[in-house]
Amino acid sequence: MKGLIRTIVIVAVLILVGVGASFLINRSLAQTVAAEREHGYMEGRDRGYQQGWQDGHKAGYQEGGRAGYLEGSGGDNASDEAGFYFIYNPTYNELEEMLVESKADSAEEIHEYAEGNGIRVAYVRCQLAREAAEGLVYVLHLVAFETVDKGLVIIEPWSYRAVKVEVGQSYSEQNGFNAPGYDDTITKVTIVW
Amino acid sequence: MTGIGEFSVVLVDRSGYPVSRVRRGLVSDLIDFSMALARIVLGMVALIAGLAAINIVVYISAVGSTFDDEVAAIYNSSFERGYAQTYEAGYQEAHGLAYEEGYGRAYEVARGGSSGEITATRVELRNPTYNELKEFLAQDNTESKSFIKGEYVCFDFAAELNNNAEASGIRAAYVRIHAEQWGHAVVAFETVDRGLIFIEPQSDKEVELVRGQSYPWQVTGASRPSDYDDVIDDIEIMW
Repeated sequence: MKGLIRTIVIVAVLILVGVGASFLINRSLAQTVAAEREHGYMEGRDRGYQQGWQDGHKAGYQEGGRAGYLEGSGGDNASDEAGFYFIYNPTYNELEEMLVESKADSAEEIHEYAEGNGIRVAYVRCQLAREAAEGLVYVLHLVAFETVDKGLVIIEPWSYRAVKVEVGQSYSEQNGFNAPGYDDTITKVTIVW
Repeated sequence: MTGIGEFSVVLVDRSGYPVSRVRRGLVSDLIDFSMALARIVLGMVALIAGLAAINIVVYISAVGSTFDDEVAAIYNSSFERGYAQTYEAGYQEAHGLAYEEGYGRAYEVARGGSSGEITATRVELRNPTYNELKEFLAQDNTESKSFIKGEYVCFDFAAELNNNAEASGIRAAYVRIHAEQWGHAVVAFETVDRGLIFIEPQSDKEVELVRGQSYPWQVTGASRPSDYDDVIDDIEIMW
């Protein structure tokens, strides 16, 4: 009799533990799935709107630019070409205004903003002498503009300051910045338009 | 068996068969039967559980999927649903505003300033046709340069091809490709008739870039910078 009771109790406990564990696991998994579904949806909405805005802005700006250039130039044939693209070199003042408007703080963001607003911009890569791990180099990412009144202007994205980037000279010294705790001599400058 | 002076009392039925022995025998058999039944039930529970576990293992190995993959798939499908719902709204909203901005700025630039005034000037760049792109690549010799580790690398090839194209009036983009332990650079062109085209500047060959897939080194003939994992994580296009 005792054996029977013991067996029944064991079976009952096993079943209860199984059902309980299954319930808890399922609830946890269901919560994870629901959270990811919501997270993905919200991320998708944000990214979709941002990307739509960027694409729409570029397309709208170029379509308006084509029509405006045609009108302003009194019918310049250039704007009738299929590949017409409206982009311009700004004055120094326009450049400064654009930087403030952009509220950007990286070379990529300034590049994106300027390009989206029809201003020609270059990506500037300054390689430094600072010692790095095997196969790696330290670089400064800056942006450049060909202004119509002051020529080539290189901008430091996080301060919006115009800077000099002479190869063989310290970046901080030639621009009057505080010296960093490493060798910031510029070893190579590449400008990509 | 009783000895002299001893006695024993046994309850018997009318036929003389001992009653307690009959009852004890039935209960004992019932217990044995129940025990056997319970063991069978317990065995079946264990068997079903084992089969279920085997089925799960077989299913996972067959479809190559785990719970994490399923969750990732749910995230992706939800992301795409959300993306599609707002993309068009963002596009239309920005398009209308930007059209006015572009029109106004281009109009001013085209008209120029009054006498002596320095004003912004249009840069004459155009998106090429596919044939124009091919013609440009054929006359450009960036791909003939040598890859020199630490001196003239993928970045330099891309920068040179990009700048040569723009100097020829063709709009080009410098493209940075990011992987977990590795980076590469190519050039992009927005052709009028075939859309966005990526060019490997070390060979002038067209290349298809897909996030989550390896860069096709063998197809493009470019120098592979390392033996690291080269699955593309991100593609950054800078026009």
